[in-house]
Amino acid sequence: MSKRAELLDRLAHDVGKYVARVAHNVDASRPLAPEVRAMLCDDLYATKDGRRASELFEELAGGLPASTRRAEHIEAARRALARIDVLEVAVRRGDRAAVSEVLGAALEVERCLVASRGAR
Amino acid sequence: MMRDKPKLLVIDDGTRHVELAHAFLRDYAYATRCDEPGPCWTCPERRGCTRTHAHDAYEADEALAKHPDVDVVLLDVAFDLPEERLLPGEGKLARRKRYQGLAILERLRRKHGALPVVLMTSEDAISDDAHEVVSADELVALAGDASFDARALGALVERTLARRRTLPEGGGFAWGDAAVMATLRRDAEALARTSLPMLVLGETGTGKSALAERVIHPATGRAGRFVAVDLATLPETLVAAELFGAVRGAFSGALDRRGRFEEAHGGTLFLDEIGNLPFEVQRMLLVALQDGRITRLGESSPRAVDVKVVAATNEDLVARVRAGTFRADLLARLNPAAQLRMPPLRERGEDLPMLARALLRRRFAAGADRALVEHYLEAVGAQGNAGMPQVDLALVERSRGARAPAAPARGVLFALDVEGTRRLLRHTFPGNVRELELVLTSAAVLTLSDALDAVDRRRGGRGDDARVLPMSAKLLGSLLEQASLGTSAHSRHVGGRTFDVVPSDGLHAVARSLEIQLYEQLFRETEGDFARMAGELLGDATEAAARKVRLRFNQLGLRARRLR
Repeated sequence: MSKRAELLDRLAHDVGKYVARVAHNVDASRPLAPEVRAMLCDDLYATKDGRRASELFEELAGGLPASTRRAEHIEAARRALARIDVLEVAVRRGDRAAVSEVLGAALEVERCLVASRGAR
Repeated sequence: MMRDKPKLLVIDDGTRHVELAHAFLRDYAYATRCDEPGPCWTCPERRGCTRTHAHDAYEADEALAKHPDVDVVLLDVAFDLPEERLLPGEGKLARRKRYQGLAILERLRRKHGALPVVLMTSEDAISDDAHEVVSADELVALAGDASFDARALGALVERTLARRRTLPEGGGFAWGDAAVMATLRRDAEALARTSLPMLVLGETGTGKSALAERVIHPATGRAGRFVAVDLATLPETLVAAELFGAVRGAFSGALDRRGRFEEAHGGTLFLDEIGNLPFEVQRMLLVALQDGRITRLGESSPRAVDVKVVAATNEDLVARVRAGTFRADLLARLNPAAQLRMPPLRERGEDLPMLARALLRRRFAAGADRALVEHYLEAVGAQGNAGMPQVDLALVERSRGARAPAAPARGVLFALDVEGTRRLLRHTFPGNVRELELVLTSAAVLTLSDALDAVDRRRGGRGDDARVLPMSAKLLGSLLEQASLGTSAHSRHVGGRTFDVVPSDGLHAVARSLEIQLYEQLFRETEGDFARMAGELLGDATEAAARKVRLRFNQLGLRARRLR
């Protein structure tokens, strides 16, 4: 497996799948139970090693060839992760609109990163 | 009261899978490494707790020792752990970490047999070799996208549990295709869901207790235990205390104890050989069935019990009622109108090949028999010996055009040739399914032992070719003959002697059985004096006659040392 393919796989799995873990299992229109919100915050803002999902994304994406790094799916995932970061305080506070928005953005991140793997 | 929730064990170096399961799959119990009661999600110490699941193979051992009733394992594949926490293995450390879950799977198979496992990975994330091992294992499912989708994961767990129930290795009941079995299944499952007592009739060895334990009890949906009592093995004086319990001083030596009815509260009580229930205890059982209450011996206040009673017998209970040894009101209470009848094997001959395979697979799925197969695979250096070995049986019914049987992906195949298959299919099996199981298991174990001997003497095959083991028709025939001696025999008195006449598939076998019995009796009467035996048999006690008798004695497979 090429390094590029390996990085795209890791982006899809270690970032995409994990970021969307809670989003797949909850109804975004209803309030989240506190422990589920805690899971969501861990997945978005304190993944393995305590880093934000966006930081892990940048670290992995940084190893990709420049042309892939600028591909539409990767750029779209970066934008969705940025929206997620902006809403951190509101999400931690339990703001329903913010939670709902990051759940949608999380699914968007996963969709883009899985698609980028398929497009390799 | 419904059945206990199925129990899951999560094995994952991280916490993501267990968090997801605890948050969204709360219809299951979880095997933790913790002594606190109640589910983790109600525990105030939940956050940061490391005892919620197993993080490596060794913690999995700990959890399984604590929870031997685990139903399904959710197993991650990549384990980012220090080397000392990985299972010993060859290859680069990175690769061992990446596929540690597969090494744990192999260990689970060796130590815990037919335990269903959901691998929390996708097909494209494992190597081709690993994929081969996983796809050959009927009790492994790949979660794929369901790894992070609780609803899909729950459905996968349910499918895995259902799959286990149908497999012989998982205790599945082998129904077969005979029409009589389809009717039996429908009736058994329908009646199980009612509160009515059930009566199962059938010859010895037809599988009455298996039907009660593996079909009726699960179909009741009751949470309590399945408790079986064989009334034929209990001394008459102890039956009442065994069933209903006793209090200290109720009779000489009596201590406070619960009876089987109380043990089965909320579950199923299987009363095997109900025809053996002493007449005076029959009244007590009648009261228990009528009122749902039992009274311990020596106690005056009855206790309420909620028990599904399943009774079984091979006797004609109506005849016993006519003879005055079985209460008519008890028989009526056992719901004889809806009795189930386990057909003898001879009435479902078309199922014999399927049953033969299923019985052998189940028998070799655990315990000493499985260990023997593992030992053999190791001895011959067969590839594909990783994980749970499977055992299969090939019956060759035609000599021409038959394809060479192939061994299962992992494990051994016993191949019975045309003659062996003919003998098996023509045998009447008076001892029914039990006889079939014992004969086949014995034949398989002896075949394996012979093969191991050959390996030890460096005469046997090696590698994957050695995984197909021809089963000798002669050996099988001999075992069938021996088995029949112990089943369904009826006594005949001839010339002052008593012989057990065993129905067989030919007069030769019957005659041989009688001859063996005659030689055994004469040997004992004459204390092994062949000249006296010759005198009895031939009217000639000379040395030459004694030699003839001794020769025949040996031809019959008798051994003086064993009879003395």
